[in-house]
Amino acid sequence: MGNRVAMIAGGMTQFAKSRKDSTQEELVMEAAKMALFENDLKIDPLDVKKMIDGTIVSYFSDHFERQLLFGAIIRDYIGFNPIQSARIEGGGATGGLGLKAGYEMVKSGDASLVLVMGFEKMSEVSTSKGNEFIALASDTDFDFPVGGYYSAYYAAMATRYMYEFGITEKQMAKVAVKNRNNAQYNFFAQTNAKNPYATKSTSGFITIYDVLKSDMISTPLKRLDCCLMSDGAAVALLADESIARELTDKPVIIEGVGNGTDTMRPADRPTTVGGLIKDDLLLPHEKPEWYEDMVYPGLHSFRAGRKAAKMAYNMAGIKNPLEQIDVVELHDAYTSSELQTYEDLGLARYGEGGKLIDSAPFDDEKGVFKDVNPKLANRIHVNPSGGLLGCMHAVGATGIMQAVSVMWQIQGKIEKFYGSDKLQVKDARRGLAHSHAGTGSDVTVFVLGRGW
Amino acid sequence: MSVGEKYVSKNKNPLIVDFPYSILYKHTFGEVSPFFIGLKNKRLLGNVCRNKEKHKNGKDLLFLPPRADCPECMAEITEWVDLTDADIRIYTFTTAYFAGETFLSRVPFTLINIDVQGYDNSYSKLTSTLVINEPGEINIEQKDIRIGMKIKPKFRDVPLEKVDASTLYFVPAEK
Repeated sequence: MGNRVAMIAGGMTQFAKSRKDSTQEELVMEAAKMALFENDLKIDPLDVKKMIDGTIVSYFSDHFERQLLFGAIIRDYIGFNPIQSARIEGGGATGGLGLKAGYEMVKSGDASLVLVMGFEKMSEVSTSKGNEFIALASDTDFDFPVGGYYSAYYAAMATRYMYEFGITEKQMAKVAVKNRNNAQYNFFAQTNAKNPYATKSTSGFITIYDVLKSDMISTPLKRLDCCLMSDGAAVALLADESIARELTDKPVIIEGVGNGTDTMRPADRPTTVGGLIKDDLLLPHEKPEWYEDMVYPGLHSFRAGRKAAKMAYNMAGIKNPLEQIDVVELHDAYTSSELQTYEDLGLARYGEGGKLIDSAPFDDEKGVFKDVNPKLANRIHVNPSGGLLGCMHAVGATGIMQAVSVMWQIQGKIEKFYGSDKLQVKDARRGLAHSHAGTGSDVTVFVLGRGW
Repeated sequence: MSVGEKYVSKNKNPLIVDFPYSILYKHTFGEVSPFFIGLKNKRLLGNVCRNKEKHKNGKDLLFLPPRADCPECMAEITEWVDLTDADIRIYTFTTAYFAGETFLSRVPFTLINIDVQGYDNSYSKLTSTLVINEPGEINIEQKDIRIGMKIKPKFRDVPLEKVDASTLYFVPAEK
């Protein structure tokens, strides 16, 4: 298969509801400096910068930014002219698709060292206008005009998910508690009160009771079931394996890459009995008899997520993800979608996402997990960063933040960057980063592994 | 301590200015315009592709939202069906207490995906709204909304140039 591609360095900004101190390009610079100067590269960071022969700029919304061709401003500001570059956009999966584009640049041989830079500034309009801008990434002829917006689309999917599989609001609330409380040990996180940009009133630890009594957004999703909206940037440095080894002692190999898609409108998702099998989407450890009678994907499962996972696992040689992956950063836009995604990724059987969150020791009286960064199925850690619920969702940066977090986990550098070792997964050898758009229209999955 | 601390901005006095932005689009509904004209005439129209032998699930496909072309067999879709009096159920629902700016004044409102009986529903779970307190119609409480519940279409009176997907809404057809 020729050259392998590695991720060798990354950086991110402090995330916040509003970073009015900085423009978008200044935020990207903040993350880019961290990537080049703080990742223990073996040669002078400015010499590394000179070796970069391609960039990708990923941002989601021309409406939020009020600036077309922003890629030109970013690469100009960071100092990357005249080398090749492209802007990538794919809704919530913009960051993941940006990474995939950077991976392809290296894999094709068009470049050997590529900086992928993602950002979003969502604070320059009101929260309700922001929700409307995001809703413009749904069908504006049919879904948006009836009052549609993303929390409601996911809420309707959650209603069906609960109906199909008996998932409970309490199981969903546990996801919020896990991720939000993890974020309290991540210095970058928007809800971490130690983050100098944090809004103190919406920061700090939460319990399951806080989630269940938080304001109803769209039944059954309450405020703390819904992800953040953020300003911020994240960057990742990708390299051809041979260059990677010159630049770092700890290259993290991109072992698997996958991408799947589904219809824009939830209305158009197939409801085929046994559809998982008919679409050839079984994972190696799954048995056809589990799913022969299951309607798929309907409005309860993300077929794009399963397709992306299957493709990435196939490339990485993953036969059973729960046994072979140590840490996952996945797109927890909503608590319900984290549970749904466990199933798409094959970490739990379809219908058993709730059981997986219930597998972690939980103190029912206090309404919190007994451990920080709890282990699911006594095996796997999901969203130690705090994810979109606890850390950030600055759309174009999100998928990159997740992948860089997985890289730092594998490199054992969580304490250095997050400022606490509590979220470091001990001896993490292989991790997964999952980036997701729309109501599941575009998903990427990366499998990252220790390369030394 | 995180290495992030040394990158924290020292700028405490950014200048913030106003930037208004307003646009009117003259938008076409293209070849599915009959659907929207149907709403103006108080009819709910879907369209059907009957090349079932060429479809992945071997069935005729109802499109609602309609499509001018079948994504599976790529045939032009010419057959419109009137679903105004069809047996329609709730496939899933949510009641929104928050919304995008344009719709914020309408909360709470209930979004539904519909399920037209008698057709394969792979491409026909149209997103719409359910009004549960319309005078002269069956009124129910929010807690009584349920998957599988029978509903019927209703149509707002709007000028043709203002027709959009929200011209259509549903009301309960059973308690």
